[in-house]
This record gives sequence, structure tokens and C-alpha cells, in this order.
Amino acid sequence: MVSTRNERRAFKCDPFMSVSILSHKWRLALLGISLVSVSFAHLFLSNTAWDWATLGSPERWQHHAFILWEFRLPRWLLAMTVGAGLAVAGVALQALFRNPLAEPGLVGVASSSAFGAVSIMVLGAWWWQEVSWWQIGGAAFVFGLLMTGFIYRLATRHGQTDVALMLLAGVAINALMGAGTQLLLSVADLVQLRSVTFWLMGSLANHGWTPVLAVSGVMVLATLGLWRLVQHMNAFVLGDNIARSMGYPSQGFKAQVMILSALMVSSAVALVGVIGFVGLVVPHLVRLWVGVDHRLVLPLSAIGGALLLVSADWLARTLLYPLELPIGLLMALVGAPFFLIMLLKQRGRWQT
Amino acid sequence: MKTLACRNLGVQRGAALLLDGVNADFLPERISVILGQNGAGKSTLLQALAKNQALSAGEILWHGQPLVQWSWSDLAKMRALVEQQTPLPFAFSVRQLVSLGLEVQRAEMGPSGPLLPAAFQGYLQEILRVCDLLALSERSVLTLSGGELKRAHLARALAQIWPLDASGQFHGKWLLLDEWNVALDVHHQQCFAVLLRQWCAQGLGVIMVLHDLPLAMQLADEVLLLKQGRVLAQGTAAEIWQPLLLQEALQTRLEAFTHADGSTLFLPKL
Repeated sequence: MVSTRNERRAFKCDPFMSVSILSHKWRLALLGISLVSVSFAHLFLSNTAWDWATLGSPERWQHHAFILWEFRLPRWLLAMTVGAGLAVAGVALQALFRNPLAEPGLVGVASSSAFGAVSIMVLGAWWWQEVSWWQIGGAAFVFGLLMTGFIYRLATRHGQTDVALMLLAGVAINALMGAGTQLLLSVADLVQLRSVTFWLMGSLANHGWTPVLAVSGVMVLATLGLWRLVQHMNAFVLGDNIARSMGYPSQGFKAQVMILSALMVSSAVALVGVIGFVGLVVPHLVRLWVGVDHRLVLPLSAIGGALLLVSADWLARTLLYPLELPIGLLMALVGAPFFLIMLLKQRGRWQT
Repeated sequence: MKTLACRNLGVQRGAALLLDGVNADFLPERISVILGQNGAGKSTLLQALAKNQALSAGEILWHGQPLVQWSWSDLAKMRALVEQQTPLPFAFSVRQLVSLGLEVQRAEMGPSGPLLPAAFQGYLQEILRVCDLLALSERSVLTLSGGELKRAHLARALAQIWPLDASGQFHGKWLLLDEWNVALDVHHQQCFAVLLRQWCAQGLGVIMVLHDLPLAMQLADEVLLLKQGRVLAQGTAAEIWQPLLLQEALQTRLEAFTHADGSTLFLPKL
């Protein structure tokens, strides 16, 4: 058996042998360079740009450092991890439903998480003086997880997902959860109404370091948790029976994917509101680029999601300066037409 | 002896008994064909052998040990399954699909430790060649015709149990096929039938569900006749290919055609 030393090394660093993200160096480099440059723009360029000429004076430097540390850096980190998390949650849900159109926003997981968060914001005041961010996150998680399980039960029978049923059930759940949220708002007092409305619009701005670090931690851990399952996802999308016969039983896998993706979506929703379509657009573009192998799709989607949300947030901040576009609105403007195109494309495939 | 044995097997779904008191033995190095009408429980039995079907009674002995005691990963290296129809929603290339099968064996590869990427690609190429998929290897599975997709799935299953040791023997390996010939053109049916024979001679055990009676008669070493979830008869081909028995199992009138060498084929009488 002939083998070069390079091949031996390639095998050693690659747990799944024949396909490795590490062998796609130029793709990683391209995404990395884009991410670094967009991050640079996000951190340093805006209408209140750095005045490079005055950097020499100590008080200007202090002023800039304060802005950077207290506002821009947490916002940048939040955009990165939320973008990566939503994209990875999209990949995971698409594997679970065995369909590239599954997306946290479309199937109603995000709106359920939002309903959970609003209900604790409004009703929680009856028990606690002040509702803290982790209580909001917990409520969002419980509702998000329940709804993931519910939709899966509803739309999947004998290991086959009925796509139309999945999307229509998503429409119904989005309507129901939207109505529930409105109902809660109508019983809320004025202070709550103000804070909830502000939160519902969704923004990456003005979050303290503690919640930002907590959400980032959740995103990183959940992504690593799903990364362990990439090979299982590859087998799982071939069908329940085939996956089992290939040595990948599905029971624990489904529960893990549901819990981890609900965790990512709900922690994002709890902090920055509903940002749709990231989990749809990013994995789809990545699949067009590298194919459908989850060992490549998952890590590249994570980087791609971070890249997309950092750029979108930068645009949201600078496009209409001094106004700031809500990031959820911007993503919907881009994502909804994209979703329509994907739908038409699939429809074309069904007809032939 | 490395056989598969069903002992008093029962499978219940709702109120319906899909399998009832099934006793059957499957031997290695043989092609065993399961025949019966629609709803006779053929696919259920095949899925039960693959550990994909919960049993309501009885047990399956896999190489002498109860099937439930085998781990999924051990089973994956011993047997592969091809289902009737498995729609794929994601655009895997044919090469990717087949390599997913081959990767099942990644832990214990080659005569000298884990398989190296070059050898892996070599085996992959060999399997693609055997299944006549080289020309299609970079195509997306979404663009394949029904027969081409079935061949890709056959190759994926084959890769899962492809012998990687020097002997090139299939001993202790099993291939479970549910109507593998449907959608395949006659040329590829013939090629694959010849290959199955050849692999059986090298130790492979094949269990297949078939509806195609002439093909079954050409291929089978052992036959199991199922009727309404029960075993009607099991035996060697010579014992089972009796017109009355077959008419009873398949509920059809048959016409016998005798070959010059004395062998007989049955065809449905129109």
C-alpha cells in the first residue's frame, strides 16, 4: 500500500477521514479574510468613524477605547455568535426534517421562543420585582424546544417529512404565537409595553458584556455539540432505516438535535429578538458552494452566518445614519425573496 | 455456523398481525429469496432481520446470539440494507453517497491498521466501477433516474460490507435487499445478478424480497414463501419450485416452460 507522509498526517488530524474541513484551506482562508475585513469595518468604520489623525492624543484614544470596549466589541461578538448560531441551528433543523427549507423562523420555533420570552416579561412581573435576562432566556428555550418537538411530530411520519405540512404548520404556529404575543401586550402595563415593544423590534445594540458572553458561550457549546453529530446527520438524511443499518440509531440523535438547536435559537431570540432567514440563506449558499456533506456544511455555515450577520449589522447601522435599521427587518428584506426563489426552484424539481 | 435464525417471530402493528409465528433460517453463501403477495409481511421480515422492526414475539438469532444484543456499529459492519424506495432530499453526489457507506468501515481497515486516504479512494473507485457508476460519480443524486438511484444505493450498501482484507472474501457479511431489481434495466439486472452469485461464492449471504418470479427462479438457492404473515414453506429451490405450492402462495395461475437442459421456468398465465 503506497502512501505519502502527507496522507498519513491528513488521516491523523481528521476524525472522519475521507472528508475534512481542514483540507479546504482556500475556502476557509477566503471566509476568514472576509470575516476579518467585515469585522474591521464593523468595529472601526461608521459615520462616527475613527479620527485616525487625533489618535496620538491620549484623551481621544481613551474616548475611542471606551466606545470600542463598551459598545462596538460586545455588539460585534454578539453579531458573530448569533449569526453563526442561527446558521448552525438551520443546518441542524434541516437535517432533522430532512429538508433544506426547514428554518427556525419559518417552522415557528423562533416565534414560539419570542412568545415564551414575552410571556415571562409580562406575566413574570406578578411574581418577581424585575425579570432578569436568564429567566427570559429560560422561558424562550422551553417554548422553543416544545414547539420543535411538536412540529416534528406533526410533519414527520414514518421518517418522512411532509414539506407542505411542515411549512403550513409553521404558518399556523407563527400566527398563533403572534396573536398570543399581541394578547400579552394588551394586558401589559405601560412600562412593560415599552420594553417589550423595544425588544420585539430586535437589535444587537446596547447589550452588556454578561448576557453577550452568556449567549456566545451557549452558541459555541451548542455548535460543538452539533459538530460531534455531523457524520450522524449525513447518515440520518438517508432515512431512518438506512441510518440505523449504517450504525447510527436515531433516538438520542433527534433529541440532541432538537435540544441544541432550540437552545441556540431561543438564546438568540431572548437577547436580540427574532432574526429570520439566516438559517435558511447561509446553509443554502454553502451547499451550492461545497455540496451537501454536513462535515463541510456545518462549520462553513457557522463562519458564513457570522459573516452575514456582522455585515448586515454594519449595514443596518450605517445605511440610513443616523437612523438605525432593525436587523431583523433587514434580514427579512433579503431573506424573504431568497426563500421564494428556493421554493420556486424546488417546485420546478417536483414537476419534472 | 454463522446463520440468521428467526424463532417464532411475531410483529404487530395496531391490531394487525404483520408476522405471526415465523420460523426461518438463512444460510451464508446462499441467495435466499422471500416470496409472497403484497402485504404478506416480506418487507416487515426483512426490516426485522435488519433490527429496524420491533418484535412483539419471538427472537432473531444473529450468528447464534440474540439480535438485540448486537451493537448498532457491529451490525453495520456485518450487514447492509437496500430499501424499496429511499427519496433523498439533499443533493449528495453519487461518489459522496457511496463513500458514506465505505466510511462505516473506517475504524478497522486494511490488513495493517486504519485505511489510508489513497486506499480508501481505491476501494471507492473499485465499487463505483463494479456498479457501473463511474460515469455518474459526480452527478447529484437528485438528477438520477430511478434505476440509476437504485444502483447508487446498491453501491452504498455494498461499500458498507466490501471486503478490505487481503483475502477479498465476504465471510460473515450479509446483504438485505428489498426489490433491488425494480427500476433497473435488464442489462444491469443481469450484471448485478451475476455479481451476487459471485460474491455468494466468496461467503456473502444474500436475503432478498422479490416479486419477479423468473428472476427469483434463476437466482434462488433457498426460498421462503410467506402468506398473510405466516410461513407457507421454506426449503431449497428444488423443494419450493412446485407449481401447486407457488400457485397457493402467489394466488396466480402459472404456466411452465421447460428449457432444453431440463430446467423449468414458471411464468404467470395470462
